[in-house]
Amino acid sequence: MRTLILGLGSEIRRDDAAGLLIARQLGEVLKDPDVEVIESSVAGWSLLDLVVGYDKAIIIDSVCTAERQVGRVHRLSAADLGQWAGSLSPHRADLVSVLEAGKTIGLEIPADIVIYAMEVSDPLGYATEPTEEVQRALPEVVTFIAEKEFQRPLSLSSLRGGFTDDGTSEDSHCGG
Amino acid sequence: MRRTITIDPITRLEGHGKIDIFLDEKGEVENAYLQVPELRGFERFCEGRPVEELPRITPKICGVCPGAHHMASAKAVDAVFHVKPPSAAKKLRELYYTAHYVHSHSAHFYALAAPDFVVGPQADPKERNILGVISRVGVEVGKEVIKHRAYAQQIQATLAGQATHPVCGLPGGVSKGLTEEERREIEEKAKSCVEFAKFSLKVFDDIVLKNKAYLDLILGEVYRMTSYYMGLVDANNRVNFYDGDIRVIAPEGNQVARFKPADYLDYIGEHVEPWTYLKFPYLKSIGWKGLVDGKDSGVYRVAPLARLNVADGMATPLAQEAYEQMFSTLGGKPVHATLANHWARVIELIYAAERLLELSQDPEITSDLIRTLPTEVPSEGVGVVEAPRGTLFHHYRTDEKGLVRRLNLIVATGNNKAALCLSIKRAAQGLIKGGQVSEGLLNMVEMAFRAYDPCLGCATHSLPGQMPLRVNIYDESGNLIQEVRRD
Repeated sequence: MRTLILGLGSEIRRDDAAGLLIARQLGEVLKDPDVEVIESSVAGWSLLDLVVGYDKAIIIDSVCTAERQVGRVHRLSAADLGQWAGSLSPHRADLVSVLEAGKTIGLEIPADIVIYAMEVSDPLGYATEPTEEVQRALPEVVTFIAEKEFQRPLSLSSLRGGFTDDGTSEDSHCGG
Repeated sequence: MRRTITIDPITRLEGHGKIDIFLDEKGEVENAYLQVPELRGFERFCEGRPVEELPRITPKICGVCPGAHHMASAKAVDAVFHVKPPSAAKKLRELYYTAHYVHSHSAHFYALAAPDFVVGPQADPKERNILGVISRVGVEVGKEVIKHRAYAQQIQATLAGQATHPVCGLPGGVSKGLTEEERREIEEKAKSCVEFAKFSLKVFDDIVLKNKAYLDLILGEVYRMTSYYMGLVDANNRVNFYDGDIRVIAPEGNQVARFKPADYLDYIGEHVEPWTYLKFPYLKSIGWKGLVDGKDSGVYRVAPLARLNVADGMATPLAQEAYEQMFSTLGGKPVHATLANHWARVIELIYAAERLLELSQDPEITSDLIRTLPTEVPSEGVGVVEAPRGTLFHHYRTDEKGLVRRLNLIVATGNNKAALCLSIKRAAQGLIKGGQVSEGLLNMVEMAFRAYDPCLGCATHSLPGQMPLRVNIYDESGNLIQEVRRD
């Protein structure tokens, strides 16, 4: 089974890089020949070009919801995401509608799509490093996804960026 | 008397596509502003960086048209270093860029324009999308769209390293040339793209032009705006996406300016509204008269319709034929009907495909003379291209080591900001009277959005955490009296 890990975000927009960084780390720790990692800053229709041909796609992005619990991860299916009403345009093409369009015209859209959205603090500032808050939370997000999707338990200390296991890892910030 | 309105910074962050409408004492619409996230902090972020990094950094501003920023940036960097790329390098960049246009314009036409016309503007919003189009014109059409967008992507990837984030632009040239084998592959794909572009015009013709109701819609009053127009033209005053002079015409059609990109500040000013932090570009020679149109207002527009209005014609035969047909159908030049942007876009798609083929057959395109090494001390430069949605300006100033000191960008949506606010204002005026908001306000406002397809700078946020449009209505004292949202 061919799996795609697609990290979405912008390397220059501070916490918006979270999706890219998480995907990158997952690729490094999993080292699985059936898993391909793509980091991308594109949006809308171009996403269709990236997901075609895989059996499963794990899409990782940053998000800011009203609760603003930085570090929390939402695990979603496409059905959980709303669709924007009104017709789409290249700047307003939501993921779900784009995937639907792809399916309708007979593209090989992955049958299994799961989305991980990490709550971040500042996805709009201009910087090449995420905020400290997000940097601290990244390793936990990586382990969560590795466990959940690949049944691969990882020790947090084995991940770059460091983490001292102080026994709070059970009290996970990760949603599900 | 006006009161100052303070915009809550938190609301501003969430305000992708937030619109503020201000009413006067009688409850009539006085003004409407679209909150577009500015490139705030971007200049500071670039300061001190080597200027030759900007062609790789600036494409990350937008996930939809990174190629346009890469091209404008590469040209600005050439200008900063006072270096002229060799002829083959310019052609290679333009070849990449026309592929980008095929990619961008075909997505836009089938996802946006066609739905509005095929399915009908009164249709349920849920139907008015590419799925609606496909259900009307057939699945095969969808496959053709995908196939040709993929061709365009592959051509871009061949030339620029990556389909979506080009890395080929260097000061004085490009990093990679073309082998004969690559050239032949591009030529074959380009031929197919020309057929596809002709087919797209036929789709438009069958669906729109043969339907009087739609023609009436295009020519209707709601989105008619008699503005000035701006676009790049080549030496023969034909549309060119990659290079040329900037030409401006008045609402009556006469040329009012023609200048080199480096001189843009003599012609374009930026007006700051005291109510908000938004800046509105306008024509200095006419002056800022507020959010109004007409020949006494310095508001101007860019994008496909503007480009065709500004030029004397298209540089390739099939596109020229389509150009002539559009203007004769719509009653001559210039055309002020905003919805005609969709028609102009298909004509540009034909030009892009023909030009792609033309360049792929140019004997110089496989040359290995693809770079002139800069030798002069860097200082300052401007690079301008036509992005799919309008004229794009990159202006950089550096120290003598080539580290960025200052940077100014005017993006396509920026040029159109005043026009977009005016369109929204017109839509709102029809639907808000005596302080009462009628049904359908959001739909009318959305139509303005679709006509301009503004870049809200949020293209990397693919998860729709909130609905994309929120309209706030304020009374004459600046109190928020109503919020209209789409749920």
